[in-house]
Amino acid sequence: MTVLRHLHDEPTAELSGADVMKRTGLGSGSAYPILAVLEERGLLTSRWESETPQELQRPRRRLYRLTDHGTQVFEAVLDEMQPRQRKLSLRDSEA
Amino acid sequence: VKTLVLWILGLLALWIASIPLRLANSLVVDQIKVWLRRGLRGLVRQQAKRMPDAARWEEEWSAHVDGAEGDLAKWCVALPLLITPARLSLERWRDSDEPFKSWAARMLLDHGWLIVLVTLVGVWIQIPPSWERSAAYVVLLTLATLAALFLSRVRTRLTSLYEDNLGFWGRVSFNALLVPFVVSMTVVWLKVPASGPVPTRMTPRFEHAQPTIFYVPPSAVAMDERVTFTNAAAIQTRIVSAVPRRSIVAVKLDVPNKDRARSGFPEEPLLLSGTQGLPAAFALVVEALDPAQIPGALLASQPIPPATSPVMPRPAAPTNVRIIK
Repeated sequence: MTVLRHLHDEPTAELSGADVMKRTGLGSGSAYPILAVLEERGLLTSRWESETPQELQRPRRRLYRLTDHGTQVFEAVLDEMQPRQRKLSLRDSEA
Repeated sequence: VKTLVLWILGLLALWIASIPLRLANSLVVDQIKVWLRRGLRGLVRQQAKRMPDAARWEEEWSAHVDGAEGDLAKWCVALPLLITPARLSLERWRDSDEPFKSWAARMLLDHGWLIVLVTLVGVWIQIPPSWERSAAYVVLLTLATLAALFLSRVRTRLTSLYEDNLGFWGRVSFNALLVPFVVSMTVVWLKVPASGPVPTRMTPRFEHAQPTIFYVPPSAVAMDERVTFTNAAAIQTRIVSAVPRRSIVAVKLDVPNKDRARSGFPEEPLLLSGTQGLPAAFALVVEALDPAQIPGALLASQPIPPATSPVMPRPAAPTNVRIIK
């Protein structure tokens, strides 16, 4: 949910695994399995950076983005959550 | 002036000598950095191989590791990748239709570190080993885990909280059970004196016990030979086999007229190597908590009387070589 929330908050943004780790506070050992599972379920989609490593002067990054299905699922889950939990979540996202 | 010149020359010589040392040093450091980076690449590659799409994960993780500033940060990113494939399997396992699998996976994912910690503490507090206490610890730990799982599930059903919160409540219930459990077990192990069979290793908590001390003549264990460096180990073995391990607190050898270092038993050959060449007519002193456990040959001996009693005087000027079992 934390990962989905951060991707949901920036619907146009595409985040790399490192960005997800920074925003969620998860370690690489936790973040990547979560990203992999969410992608398997169709909640996320990912693509390689369009530039080549030569152009970037570094290895390409994999960028993750919330799919429409992922947005629907996340919002449905938010709707089902208890009012208190929802309030907490919204307060966090506002902060 | 001459001293000053020599001093300056000495400094120059030191400076010149330091050049190859600095070069060698920087070469070594560079080489170590190369090895570390090679190790990083190998680690990423090995972990990626355990993932479904190895090439993709290797490239993605390599980019992530390369993006970290500094060697230490790179390792901080790379090391957790060691658990990533297992964690991914667990995440999939959690999605299983079988409730037990999902509970077990949730427990491992949410409390894996705690389980490892409790296990390590469990191992630590069971030294020295005792089957009874180990079994009790395992049973109680299992019950606590099952109770935590049960509470977690009940809490889930009752509150209908979602995934993120389940981890929290599960953790709360788990800790609420485990902390007092671990503390109480630790206190029991460290403070309560043992009852029942005496363990094979002497520990501080048994020091207050008052064993019966037997003074055993060499004939009781057939030690009528000279102790040499080569037969010391064999004699040690014979002593061990002559007394029941579980009933003996300590075995001492009284060797007349020689100071001997205290030594562990029976692994350390130092014990008897110091007595080589001496007559083996030393006495065997056995301290036992339960005299009924002493075998027939040793029962034939008499308990050692107080030092003032003339019934069975100890050998003149004895010095103990102590064998602690």
